[in-house]
Amino acid sequence: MTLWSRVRYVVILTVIGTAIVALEAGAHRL
Amino acid sequence: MGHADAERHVTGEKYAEYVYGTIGVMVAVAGLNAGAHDVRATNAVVVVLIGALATWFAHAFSHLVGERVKRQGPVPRERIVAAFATSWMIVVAAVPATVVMVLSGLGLWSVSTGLSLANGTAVVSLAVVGVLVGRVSV
Repeated sequence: MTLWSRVRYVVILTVIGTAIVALEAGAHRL
Repeated sequence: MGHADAERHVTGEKYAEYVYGTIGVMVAVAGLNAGAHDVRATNAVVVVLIGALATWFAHAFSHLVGERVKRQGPVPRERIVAAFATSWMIVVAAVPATVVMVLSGLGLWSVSTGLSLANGTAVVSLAVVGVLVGRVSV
């Protein structure tokens, strides 16, 4: 099992979560 | 499908529903954040919890509608129970945000801080699911 296969879901899900928060923060400034 | 396969299938579905529920919570928090100045903690708790319960019901029911068509016949009672049981993870996913907003209602922190913490718990939840899923991937 490669390191990437272990961490990819953490990376992907964290990016999704962070992106939602970032979009929210962006929308809040509008 | 063997017993172990069936168990893995259910576990996979539960992770999927948890991710789905967590993103649903984040959408609710985004909506609440848009009007954070007039939102009370109790409003937030109601929106998050009712939203999760409604999503749970809608998700399980939509799954059963699809299954009814695929089977071309009635869905057995145990499948109905299983659909609602698996989708329950959508409601479980709303627990961290609910707890954070209840604590906000009790005066531990402001509503705005509570909503940020709710987002924080959601991102951490997603990361934890990522770790758990990474452990089982090959």
